[in-house]
Amino acid sequence: MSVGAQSLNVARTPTQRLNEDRIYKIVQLREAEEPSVHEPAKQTLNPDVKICLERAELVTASYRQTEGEPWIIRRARALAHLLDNMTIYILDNELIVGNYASTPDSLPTYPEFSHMWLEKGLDNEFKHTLDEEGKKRLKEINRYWVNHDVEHVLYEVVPDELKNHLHWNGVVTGPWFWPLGHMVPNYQDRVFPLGIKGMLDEVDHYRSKISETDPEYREKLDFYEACEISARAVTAWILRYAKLAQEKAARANDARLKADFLKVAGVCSNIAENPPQNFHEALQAFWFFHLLTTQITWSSVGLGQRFDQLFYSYYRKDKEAGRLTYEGAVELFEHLWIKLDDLGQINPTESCYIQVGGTKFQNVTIGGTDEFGNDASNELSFACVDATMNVRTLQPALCLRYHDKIDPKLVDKSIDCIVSGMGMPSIFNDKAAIKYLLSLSSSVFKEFEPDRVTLDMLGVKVSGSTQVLSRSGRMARRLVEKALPVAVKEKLDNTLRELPYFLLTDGGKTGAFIRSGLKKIGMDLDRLLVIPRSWASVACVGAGFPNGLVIQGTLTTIITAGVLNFLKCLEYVLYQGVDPATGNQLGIRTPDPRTFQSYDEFLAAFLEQLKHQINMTGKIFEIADRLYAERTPRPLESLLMNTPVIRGKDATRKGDFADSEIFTMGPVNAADSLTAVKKLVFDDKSVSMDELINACLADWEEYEDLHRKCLDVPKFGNDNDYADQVLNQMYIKANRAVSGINNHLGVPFRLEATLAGGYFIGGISCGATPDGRKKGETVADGQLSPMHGMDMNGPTAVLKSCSKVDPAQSWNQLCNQKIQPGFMKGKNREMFTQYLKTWASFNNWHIQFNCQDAEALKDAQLHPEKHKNLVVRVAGYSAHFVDLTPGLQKDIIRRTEQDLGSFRSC
Amino acid sequence: MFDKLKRFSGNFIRTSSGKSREPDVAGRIFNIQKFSINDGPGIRTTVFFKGCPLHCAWCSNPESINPNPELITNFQVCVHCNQCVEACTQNAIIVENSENSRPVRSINREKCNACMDCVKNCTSGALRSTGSTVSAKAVLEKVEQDVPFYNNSGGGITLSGGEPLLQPEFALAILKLSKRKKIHTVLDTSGYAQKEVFKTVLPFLDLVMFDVKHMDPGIHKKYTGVDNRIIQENLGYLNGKVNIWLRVPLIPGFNDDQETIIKILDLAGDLCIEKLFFLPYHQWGIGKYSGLGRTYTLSGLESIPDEKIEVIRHLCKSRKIRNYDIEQG
Repeated sequence: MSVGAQSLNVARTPTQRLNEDRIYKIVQLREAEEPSVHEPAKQTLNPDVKICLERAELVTASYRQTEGEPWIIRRARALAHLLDNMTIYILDNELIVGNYASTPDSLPTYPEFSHMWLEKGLDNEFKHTLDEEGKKRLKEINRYWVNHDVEHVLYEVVPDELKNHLHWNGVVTGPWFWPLGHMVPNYQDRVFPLGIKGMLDEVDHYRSKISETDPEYREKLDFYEACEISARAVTAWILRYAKLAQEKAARANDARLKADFLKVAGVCSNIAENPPQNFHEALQAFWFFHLLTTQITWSSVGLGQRFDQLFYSYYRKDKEAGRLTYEGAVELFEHLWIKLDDLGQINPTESCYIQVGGTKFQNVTIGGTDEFGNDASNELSFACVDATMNVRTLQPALCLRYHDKIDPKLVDKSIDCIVSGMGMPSIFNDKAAIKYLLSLSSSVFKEFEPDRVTLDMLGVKVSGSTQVLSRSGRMARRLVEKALPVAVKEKLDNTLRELPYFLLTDGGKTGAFIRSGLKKIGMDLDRLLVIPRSWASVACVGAGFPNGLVIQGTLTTIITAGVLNFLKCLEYVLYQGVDPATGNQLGIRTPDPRTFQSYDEFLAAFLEQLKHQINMTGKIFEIADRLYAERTPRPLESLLMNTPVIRGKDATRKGDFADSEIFTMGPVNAADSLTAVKKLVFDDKSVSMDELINACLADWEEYEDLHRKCLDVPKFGNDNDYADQVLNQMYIKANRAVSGINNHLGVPFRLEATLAGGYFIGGISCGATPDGRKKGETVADGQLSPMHGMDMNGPTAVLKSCSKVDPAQSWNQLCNQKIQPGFMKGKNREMFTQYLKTWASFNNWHIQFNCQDAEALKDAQLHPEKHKNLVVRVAGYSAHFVDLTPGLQKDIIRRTEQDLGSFRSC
Repeated sequence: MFDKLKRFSGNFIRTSSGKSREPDVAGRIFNIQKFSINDGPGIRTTVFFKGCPLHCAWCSNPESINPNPELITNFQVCVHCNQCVEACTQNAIIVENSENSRPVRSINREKCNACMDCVKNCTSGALRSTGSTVSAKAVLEKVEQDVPFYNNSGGGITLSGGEPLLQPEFALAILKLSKRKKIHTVLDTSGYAQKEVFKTVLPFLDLVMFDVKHMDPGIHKKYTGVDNRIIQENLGYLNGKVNIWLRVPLIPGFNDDQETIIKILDLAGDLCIEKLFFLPYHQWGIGKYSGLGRTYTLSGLESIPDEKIEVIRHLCKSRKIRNYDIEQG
């Protein structure tokens, strides 16, 4: 606390002042007071946040006028009408400008997707967001959308048997009425070098090439027209800011403010049509387009850019010319950070299960390698961290791409930031990510193939070499299978699976020799790595192309992600597909588990349940995605992507790679439950299945003995092979089981990625489970984070457990680790660096260090039974936090508070 | 890949010829703590031995003194299921009703025969047994799991306690196995053991963390229960033969006066030591005393004031001792 208090007394920088005057728009998702399967949680809103109806009104007015025109034109015209008439403002001290609602304290709504939820919520959670007048205006707007929003149509077209799955039912849901619409514009190759003018020239160029004999002639013409309308509207909108800044400058009394406004006016008028020329202009151009694509045209999430690469050329040029200093760059980043943190949205409560708290999950990636595999970090990587530490905003979330050759100073700087209590940057392992991308290569690059143009644009010819590699791997594996004994076979099999990756990435002489040899016969393996080496993280740890890693200028499907509750599927196995809470048959009817003879049968039933749910979800995915693509195309975004302008088709149509993900809820608890069943019922045979089911039904009442037994079964996260392998196998088999189910673009679903905060919903909806969890108790966060309080062997054991799960085979990666801030300070710092190095050598994918905050310790004081694993580390001393006397516990809490200082947390 | 093949063949050779004919030795420990970052260099795994010839009043691991398994309680987590009361054949578990309706439990240590039947029936973890007999191989199995962390951070295994050398064969077996696996070894010792014991374990030690508590034999005996003569002799014996870190627990009113500190610093100056640590007194162990049914005699003791720490820093500086550290928790 002391740190925060001190900083108030010191003179605040303009950015800090801007930041502190802001109204914080984070929405919180809390467990409902009386949680039920269907309504497990409620959102609470900062009472100062209002709803701005301007966007809804302007869009509605435009839609009313354009009835009968093609959807894509209507969409473009609505955007143009909105940009021409929306309120714009520039606050004092702002250097990056651009707003999305009429006032700084309000959030817009998007009635074209779904409208009724807001009106319903006005009596409850959104009570304070609109006054009486506003409520009347909302009713007027909604009158138009009754039969016109996508939700309405979706209800009509979804077959009856799927209607059960449209809303959260304890096991699956998706943002059907509030699509996430992830997309990553290509700033590097399109926005920055071309500018709006250049992009429009391109539109003219390709429009002149289409012939009337083209069967899609009409649609293509409409598409180009829509692009043009949108682009011109954006130019006019940016010029409005230039004009406003001029006016404000004329009125300003303060000389410094006047200079600021004039600077803003200059920047805006320069980039209204033309490409940005300097660092400030590039940042402003980025912000305008980011704002347009994620908040104004659509309420989407994600960012997916490598800021230290994207802006570096501008920074270097400015610095060499003496126009910009490092501090100047940090300050501009701070301005951008405040803008990014200021984005927000009000969602239907159900959508919050996936997109927790209306955060925008904007990930800024720093570090990593260049296309040749050398360290790519530069001064801007440091500037990003500095900006975060200065303004302490939660968004953007920094992601550090860690690799062997990374600048140790950048790691050091990142640790500084983590220790300051921000929990950022989260750290991604290049090794695992690139390996993963390569393992995906067949399916990913196949997806590219129909459109050779993409590949040519990227300058990469990949298909030939990947095919040879995978074929040779397959052949060798087949040979192995026939000839060798099992133990040797497994070892060799692993080695062979690693072979392509090894050939590509080995830095030693062998690798270089083989690569140069292959180059001579025309196979340039280095070029294969160009795409994977450019990856960036889009949102949370994942989601995007593919699985959180993104290539510029690609789009994921509109719906992007569904949620599947693994633990519920496990419950369905116990009760043959019947939800014990409601009595509904939502799962498939698998055989009575009491008749199972082996663990394999149990696992098979579990996979059957998973598969069934994904099948159902997949069908809705397909219907919804098509519907959104038809009704809400994205002409402006199409301009910013790689291929749409060339193809003459909107970005939502097939062409760019687009995958669909299913976020997993409670997979670690499901795996722990599987372990318990495997060990107690089938291996030890000390408990009968009947007994176990009855105990779960009774929520362990009268079954204390069995409860203890279940809790004592090894759990994931303790470096115990038995438990860790169950989890690994579950992931691999689950992914194999669903690999045959494709989305409407022909790309298989993946059970992967990450659910950032909504995981606790999964717990509320489930009864007691064989891992010893009680009814309604929360589940583990993340896909590789052990269940709370179940990792008894310390942080090294957790990392070891995670390392046994191959991210390239299981697609799972999210691991959160809570550590006490003292572990990273003073003489321990060097140790922490080594700890990180060891982590990277394990090929784990991701790790985020959250400092053990005082709140957690206070909770441990109140609920010691949940925190038995909290170790106090003092020289020559062995004890757990819960064993300390209350006075000493308080002492530790006080010191933790001191160590961390204070910052806004969500 | 070739690394992997090498590792694979390495395993192969080891498993075929490495089946050791030596008998496995068992001993008594009360904890194996991974990720210990304050018990020697790097990330370490500390094995806490049970049993100690000393009984220092300030001991932060009171369960380490008695070599036999003990019942330790933490009634904060008790769920009052009363299964323990039913299980106890000695009627040693006492339940008293208090005003705020929650019953208060305690153990009659005179009746308790440490049969641990209550622990087996405890559903909440309020009753635990501390101290278990394990084999050296089992210990190593656990220690080996963190080898990648040791390699990167310069860590390894630390034998602590209690006094590891109170179980010399067991300690020796663990150290031998560790060295066979090329794991860095540290012995955290009070120094109170026979010289022969030190002689046998010495070849397998990379570092000894040696406790020096007081220089005066009389005071030493009064507070720790043993004379410091043997300790000093052993220290003299080890000097120059192995890396030594001296560790001085700073206890208010016992050894925090200037005179004692100077004596200790003089000793440190005479010896060939790598580092000198001062560990200021803390009360982290106090909860365990009541858990074991013992009384903590130093409960009124304040922690070492900052001024005294400064004095020590000054003394070290004036004696040109640079390789010292004061671990302020």
